[in-house]
Amino acid sequence: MHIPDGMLPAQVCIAGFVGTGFLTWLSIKKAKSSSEDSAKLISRASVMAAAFFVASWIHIPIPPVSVHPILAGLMGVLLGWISFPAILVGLFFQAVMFGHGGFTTLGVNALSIGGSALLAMGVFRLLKGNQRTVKSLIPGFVAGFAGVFFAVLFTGGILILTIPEYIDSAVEISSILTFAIAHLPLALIEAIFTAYVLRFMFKVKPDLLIC
Amino acid sequence: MQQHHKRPLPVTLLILTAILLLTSAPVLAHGAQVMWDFHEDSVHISAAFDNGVPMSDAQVTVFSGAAPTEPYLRGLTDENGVFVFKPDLHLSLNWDVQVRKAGHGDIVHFSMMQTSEVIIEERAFTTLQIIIMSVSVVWGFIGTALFFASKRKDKNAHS
Repeated sequence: MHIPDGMLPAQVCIAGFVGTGFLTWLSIKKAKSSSEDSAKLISRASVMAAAFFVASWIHIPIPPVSVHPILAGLMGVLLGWISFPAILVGLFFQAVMFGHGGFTTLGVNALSIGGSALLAMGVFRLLKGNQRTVKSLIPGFVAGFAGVFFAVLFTGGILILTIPEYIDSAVEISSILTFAIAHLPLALIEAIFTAYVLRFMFKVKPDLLIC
Repeated sequence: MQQHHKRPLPVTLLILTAILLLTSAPVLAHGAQVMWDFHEDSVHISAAFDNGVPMSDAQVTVFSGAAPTEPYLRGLTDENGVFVFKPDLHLSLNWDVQVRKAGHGDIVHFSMMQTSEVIIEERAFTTLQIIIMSVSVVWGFIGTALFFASKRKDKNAHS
């Protein structure tokens, strides 16, 4: 759910950039203070940003709409704090190259998807606790689901709260809810995908996981 | 003895990107494309998601250049994503039309002295262009990853 240009009032767009600026600063600060090697983090973030960029081309038709993977949960769990800047870069290129999303709404979109990645990371860490390995699929499943859920909740909420006066709000809210509900199967798909990817990585390359 | 050549990860990722784009390029992301055209004295607005599906029942708001913040006309697109209106040329020659559905949509600006073809050509990318652009971006990301990965290897070798 990317919000295109022209859909949000200027104040909301500016607030989105302020929030994104703060979270980018915080994410980089947190990532720097972690024990992870920065070169390793950047190389991993670049590959995941590429995956995020490409994922928006995969279409899952859920009539009457079509949705595409968001990958916020997987990004959050695999990259930790650095997932926010990685998603910001991916969103920027999606907007520049294909007009998917927008420039004025880049901040809001980054808060929506990047913020959801950070929340998914938090959920995963909470469920995983202090364990070094995760045998259960549940933490990954919940994190994957949370990534889509929070992104849809945030984007839908912003859109509903900023419906202009000249628009029939009942019709618009009904359309937004249809889009939001259509993301439920996607959330389940991403939840299963994230759970199995994490279990696989814990088995074969546990050092790749930051969380 | 037969030797197996392992394909490097960046090459695999690029091939996957190209395959994905080749198979999905005609049905792009769920952004929106709004186009306009003149038919005699009326303006035809045509809205579709960029997967080609018409944006039916989308809300259309028309603004005249004389009062750009006050709607001149409101309505809904039909099942083909089309909305037709007759602008009052005495009021203004410049018009803005916003098409919106569930936060998706676009605003088109046009002057009654313009031709619509210019707008349409500017917005369209061919499949080949899209593939080249996507592969370039993905390669940029992977190049960054490889650069930092090699820096790390150098650092480890020196220590």
